Amino acid sequence: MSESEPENWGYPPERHLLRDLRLEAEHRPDGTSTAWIPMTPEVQTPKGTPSLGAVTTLVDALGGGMAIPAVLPNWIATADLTLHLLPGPAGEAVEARGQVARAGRTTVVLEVELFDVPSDAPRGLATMTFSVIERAVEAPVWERDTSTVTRMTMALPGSGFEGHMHEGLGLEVIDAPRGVVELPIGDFVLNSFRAVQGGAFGAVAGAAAEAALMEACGVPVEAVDLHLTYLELGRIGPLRTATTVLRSSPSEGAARVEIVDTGADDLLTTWATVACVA
Amino acid sequence: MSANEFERARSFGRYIGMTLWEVDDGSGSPVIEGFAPVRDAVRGPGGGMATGALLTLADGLGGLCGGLAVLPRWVVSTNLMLRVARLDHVGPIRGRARVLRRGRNGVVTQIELRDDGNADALVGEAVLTSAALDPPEGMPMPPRPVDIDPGPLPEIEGTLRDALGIHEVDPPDGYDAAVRMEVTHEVRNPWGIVHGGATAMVIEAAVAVATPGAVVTDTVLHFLQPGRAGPMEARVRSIDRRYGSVGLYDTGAGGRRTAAAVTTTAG
Repeated sequence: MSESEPENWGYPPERHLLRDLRLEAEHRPDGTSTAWIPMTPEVQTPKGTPSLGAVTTLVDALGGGMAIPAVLPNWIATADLTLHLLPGPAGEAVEARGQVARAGRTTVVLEVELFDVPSDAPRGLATMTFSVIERAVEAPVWERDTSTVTRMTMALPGSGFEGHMHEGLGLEVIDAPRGVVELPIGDFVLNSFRAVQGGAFGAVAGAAAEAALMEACGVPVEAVDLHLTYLELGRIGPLRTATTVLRSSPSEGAARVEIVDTGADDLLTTWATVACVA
Repeated sequence: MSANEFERARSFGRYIGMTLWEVDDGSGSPVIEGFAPVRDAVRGPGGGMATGALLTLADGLGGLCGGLAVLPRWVVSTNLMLRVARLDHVGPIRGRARVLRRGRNGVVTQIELRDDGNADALVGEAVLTSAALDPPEGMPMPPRPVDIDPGPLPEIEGTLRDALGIHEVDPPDGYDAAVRMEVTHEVRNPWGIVHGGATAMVIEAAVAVATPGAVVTDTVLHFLQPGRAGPMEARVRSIDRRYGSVGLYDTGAGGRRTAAAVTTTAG
């Protein structure tokens, strides 16, 4: 087993979403991978359920680390991500175990199972689809040795959120009943292509749906289920949501969240639907 | 070849009476509208059109829309996601598909489903992602604008699930339920591949066995590989009562997995 030291990484920068989540990942030669994020109130809902945005980021990071070696020398673009969380208080950490369901010429599909640590109780499921694309010149050099077990962490000493993750991201609720939320784009949320990290879109969609559905359902709700389709990169910002309630009851609801890049002529970047439970 | 012959030849949608037509909304991208009646054979435990049939309608609308968007190439469905807004429907269910994104290698379409008999109440929304490919030799191209009626509805005794011969079998170790469906001419497309709509129906049937009394509301369906030989076997692992993880396997082709789904149930 080898372990990459954080200082060997040119990316991410010192203060970054992936570092503050204290994400740790292990990739194995058989193509399977596991990743963890510790659970603290900063990455949980008021009821203790893991935050949709935090787990989306966990799954997205795990998936990227699995899909790239499956397509080398090509590269990948994330096409969609779905996440299905069981509500309820989290354990000490959430563990994501991924496997490649399909690695074809044009697409890679991953399945991820989520568990609580240390109980090993199921926490949910996730899936991801990646499009296989020609490797761009600016793509990072892939240095991981895929013939050995590799364990890496992105956390630095002192990494971690000081307030809730949504505050760390700078998420601002503009109009709660209409589910309008904004996310400024800065180094903290950028990926290696200097576009918004896929997981951050989960946080944005989840926050927008929670805001709109709290009004529609008449009770506080938490986002637990996400269907996310990536259409274009978010590069300029701020990102802004438009939310439409699809269904609502006192026990649960669902909403569609469209996320546009307001700095790029309201370019539609992401199409999401989110289910929330009371 | 007429438009009707084109669609009847390629679409499992005739089993739900799916009628489709092309609309010019001035955007330069294809828009497909259509409807399907809510007859007893396709009703689910929620009282309205079963989710498998809604997925069939969404796949038909979005697939045709995506295919027209990438002509002269065609498409194969890779991922279909449906969020159901209500389970009780009067019918017919009316749908509209439009292009969200057209790329070099694929197309993403959004499909809105509404209840024509209930003041256009929202029934659900779906997103279909399709990969663009060069069509197989001999594939007929649709005359434009597309305008398709399904012809006479196939006579069905009982439910469409019964008509497709979907039946429960003992699940393998590690699974909570399993069902099988023979692969007949009726569930294949012209290239011999099990249709996406039939895939959705067998998956929904397996979840119904795993969680009796529950109704499938939301579905994520990944099409992994073509299913051709059969019987197709859908195996479910329940994650709590809320979610089902479903794999569809072609038992006649070495048991390879052809589709993976995550379903959400209510009730």
